[in-house]
Amino acid sequence: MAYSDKVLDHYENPRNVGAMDSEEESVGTGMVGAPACGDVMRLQIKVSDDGIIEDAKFKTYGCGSAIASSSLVTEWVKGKTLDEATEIKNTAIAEELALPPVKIHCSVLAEDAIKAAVNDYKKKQGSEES
Amino acid sequence: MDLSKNFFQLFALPISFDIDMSNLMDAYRSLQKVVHPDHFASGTDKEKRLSIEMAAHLNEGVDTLKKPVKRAIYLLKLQGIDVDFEKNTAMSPMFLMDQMELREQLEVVGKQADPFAAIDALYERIASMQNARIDDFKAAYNKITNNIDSVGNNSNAEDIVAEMQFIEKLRIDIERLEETLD
Repeated sequence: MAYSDKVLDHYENPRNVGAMDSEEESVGTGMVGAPACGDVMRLQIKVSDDGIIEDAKFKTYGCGSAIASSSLVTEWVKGKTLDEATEIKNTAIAEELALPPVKIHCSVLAEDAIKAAVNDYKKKQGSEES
Repeated sequence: MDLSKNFFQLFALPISFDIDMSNLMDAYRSLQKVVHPDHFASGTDKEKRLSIEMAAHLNEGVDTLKKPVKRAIYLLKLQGIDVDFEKNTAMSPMFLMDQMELREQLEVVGKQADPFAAIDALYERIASMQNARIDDFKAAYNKITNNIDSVGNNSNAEDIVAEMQFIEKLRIDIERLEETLD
């Protein structure tokens, strides 16, 4: 199966690979996995005081499409509010990367990873206030 | 040979996660002899087609029962539970962190002073992870078959199978890496 140019670009030059301190109050961490292929994805966001995602990092073990999907969303979420970030749909990711049907689940994984990271951040803030 | 029988019945095995592997292979071989397409070389087209169909059914059956994860998925299917891995990404964060850490270790195995020892250590660790899940699965499956867990409340067994599948994928990747080291 041939990868699209955009997948190859992200696969060969992944953006924002790395890790943030998950203990930090301003960092939200999302961990998701796809049992079907054994892919595991960690996506982290750093959120400013006014609720804007300043930075994002990811680490993904999986196929080229999974790496490209997570690389792409780290670019997309930067500068967005938390609500805007959770509105990112897997279909948009799949469309941007021209993923074939058998790789759609990679984009689902990336969508779920953002949601998980935002939830983790919100949970931290909530527990801080209470 | 009856194509409507489930794979356990096909090989005359009790429907259970624990199976006697030598009984399975003996039953497989004797059935394989009976349905082998060579026996039907002079038969009618219908007989030939049927023998090919049955041989394929046998192979699928032995492949399903031989592998623990496939066997577990099949057992749930016989209980009317279809395991859908595509939908299930919300796995236990602790489990995923372990998986990430194991993947990180695997990534640097080639750089270790003794890569084979490092690989053996990884095998050992995931084998004990997998054995723990197999025990959990058997307990969850027992609850389902004894109707303690009503249908619709079987997510536990499905979650365990998802983790088993994850560990199996990792094991295959370790094997692949091991081959490149030789």
